[in-house]
Amino acid sequence: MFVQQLVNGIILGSIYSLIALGYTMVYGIIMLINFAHGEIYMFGAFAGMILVVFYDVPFFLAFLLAMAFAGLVGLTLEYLAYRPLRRSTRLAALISAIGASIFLQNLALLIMGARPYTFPSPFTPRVYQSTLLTISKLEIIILAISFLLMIGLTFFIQKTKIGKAMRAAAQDIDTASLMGVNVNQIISITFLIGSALGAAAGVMVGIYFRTVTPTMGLMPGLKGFVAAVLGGIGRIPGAMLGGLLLGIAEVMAAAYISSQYRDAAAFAILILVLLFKPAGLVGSAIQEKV
Amino acid sequence: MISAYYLQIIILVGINIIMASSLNLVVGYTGQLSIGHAAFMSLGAYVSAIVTLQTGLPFIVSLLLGAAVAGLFGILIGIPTLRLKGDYLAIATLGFGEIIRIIFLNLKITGGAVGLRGIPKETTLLWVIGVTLLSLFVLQRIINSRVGRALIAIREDETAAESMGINTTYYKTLAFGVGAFFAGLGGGLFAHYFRYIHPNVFGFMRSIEQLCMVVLGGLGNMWGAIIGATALTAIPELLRAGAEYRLLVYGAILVLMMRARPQGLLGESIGQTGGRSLKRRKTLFTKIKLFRRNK
Amino acid sequence: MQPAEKNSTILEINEVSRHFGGLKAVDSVNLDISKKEIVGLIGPNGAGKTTLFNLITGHYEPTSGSLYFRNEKINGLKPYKITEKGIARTFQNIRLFGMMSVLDNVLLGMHARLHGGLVSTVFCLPGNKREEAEARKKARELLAFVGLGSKEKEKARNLPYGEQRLLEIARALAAEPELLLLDEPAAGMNPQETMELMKLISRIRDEMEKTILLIEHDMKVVMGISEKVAVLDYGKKIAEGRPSEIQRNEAVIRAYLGDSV
Repeated sequence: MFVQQLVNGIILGSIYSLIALGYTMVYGIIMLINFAHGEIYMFGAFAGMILVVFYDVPFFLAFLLAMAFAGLVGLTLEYLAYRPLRRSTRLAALISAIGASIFLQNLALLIMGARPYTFPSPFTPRVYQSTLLTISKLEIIILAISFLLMIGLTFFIQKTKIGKAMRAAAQDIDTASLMGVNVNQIISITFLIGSALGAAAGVMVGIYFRTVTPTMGLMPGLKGFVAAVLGGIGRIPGAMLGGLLLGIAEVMAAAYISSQYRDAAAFAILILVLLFKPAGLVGSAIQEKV
Repeated sequence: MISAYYLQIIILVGINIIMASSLNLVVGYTGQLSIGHAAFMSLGAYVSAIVTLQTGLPFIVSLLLGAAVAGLFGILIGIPTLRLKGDYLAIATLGFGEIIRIIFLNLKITGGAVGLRGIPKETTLLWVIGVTLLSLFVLQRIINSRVGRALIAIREDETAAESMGINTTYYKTLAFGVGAFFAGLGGGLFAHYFRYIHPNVFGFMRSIEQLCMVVLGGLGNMWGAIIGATALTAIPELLRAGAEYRLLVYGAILVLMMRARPQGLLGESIGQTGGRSLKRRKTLFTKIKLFRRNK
Repeated sequence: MQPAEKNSTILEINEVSRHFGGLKAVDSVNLDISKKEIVGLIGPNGAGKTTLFNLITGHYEPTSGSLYFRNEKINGLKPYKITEKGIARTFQNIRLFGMMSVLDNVLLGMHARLHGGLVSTVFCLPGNKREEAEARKKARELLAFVGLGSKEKEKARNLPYGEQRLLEIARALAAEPELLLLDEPAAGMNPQETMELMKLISRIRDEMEKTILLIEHDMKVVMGISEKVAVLDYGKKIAEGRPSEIQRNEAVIRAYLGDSV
């Protein structure tokens, strides 16, 4: 029972991690809560579903195309809604993000309608069973893709020139700019990658629950954000860890306390972390200078 | 006589003015970003409705009880969370708002996911006008007093405010409690007008909508909150013709408004905007210098 | 100058240290300040002067050591409590309430001395109105005292730099402190303004009977008005004495000019 729940938690958590990465990368560089990230995730899920269901595109190709499409949506979003506000107050930027979120959600509602679409799983339904654990082929594939993407991102951030520039910008964007880092380009790439990862999560949730709807982004969006805060917002390994912990905690709360309060558990954890370790589990303290 | 349709719009405008002006006390005047204001509205709505349904006490009593419980929760939630600043406070208020909603979804006494039905219709136009004017009067008095000065000082510069002898924790909690009290009043009026309430009516989007009213009208400006609430309540109703485009337009307006006039219709730009730095400020309005502590 | 009496110590800084990680910003500092004294605090940049201010006003807690104000231990108290007890300050990097009027800034300085709370405000109690009127009158007097009498309606952030510094002083005085801490009050002022400022500081001590501790880089100001000067270097107090003694002190000269002298 416990091992089964743990694995279920890790599957859910790996999805949260992917969403949390988008929040954390953006926050790390421009200190903005990208409220529309949940909608990007939803756009990704729709793109994947449409390609597979309506155009018979092979699943993995559709998966990559959905990531690319969401990346472009993220780029456009940054260019239209955030870039003009880069030097204004944080509140203005936050409201703009909320506005963008409402806009994108209703755009999807307008185009696709409110009814849910079925997103059939492209994989043969196979289930592997042992005494401790039951796991489906689909779940294994979700786990594998999530971890591959996270390893890929870590490699990109650590080893490539652009990744290093992103880290420099996250440390201190002004100094990075003075050192010759093209800040606009770095921010664009950050949105591109973050959005693509969000879309990957969206497509996987789509095939896992077999549905996509225009409002599917709201809760996972909030949860992904909670996961980012949990790990220390602005920190990439923190987002991965935070997502996994949140997924496990949620599944455990549903299994051992009450399934009605699984969402409340996520927010209760959020508040406890904020109160007792506001910089997140792997964050460091910041002190105000008088 | 006004038709029922217009009456409903006017009543909604009144309730939203109470919601926006009380939120303005917290966000606009004290500078503490709350995105869980609707949760206090739901506390007022549920408590007053349950009191009315179960005890049959007069409307005024259940209305005040609802507001008092909301105010109390404002203080209880404010004490731990108001140590947090900016985004972190916003997230914590969001979290509390969601938790309250989920609890209401699962309690027996609130009707759970079915919602609470059959609340007597007590809210009349006169009630709404009276409570709205009284709320505005009280809030305005607070703002123009020693208490209000202290709140604005906290918004402008919390460190300096503390040096003036202002107990910032106390005043922030006070603002939160007063804001929650009036939100509870608004909730009570709402419940006794529509006669049916559901936890999801007071969800995250409702909080956001109320924040947008304040921001559009102009933070830290009472007329701003009034105009923001009126505009954002009436315009979507009047846009009924193209109902499916309504929220789409609403979202676009928010984005465009922040580009064109981020301080809102009537607001002055609070704090120092347009700094040289690309990094956003730690607090919402004022620029403070930060350093990372070296280990 | 009168000889300091035994009982007249108003602030006693006793072996106070403050460390930030490995950095000893303030290192075992001892300093006594007597009533109605003007004490100058000098030292090179980064010597720990402002940190010492922040320790006295409660913005930082000392890592070790203790602070006594009027024989009462004040370390560990919150800044607002310390203001209530009678210590007010100005800030090196001006921290006025920019969006508020000049008069409101001074009224805020009075916060700790006024009582109007939520209940008396909401119910329009008569005492509240009277108190507010008296406070306004006093605030105007203070503005006149520092020479900003005609500017009460302006927004604080629209004042020129020198006047913002004066407003900070008026705001600090509004708290009716016994001890006034001034952090580089002459910074950014022209020679004329600096002269006026020196006169003002002397008047604050003579007419208002305040004790003043001041950080200042302008040696003309420090040496001109202080009775006692303390010198910090790398967090340690390296000298204390009359201005004339400090000017001849070798350790001080070395701290300012380096070891080459």
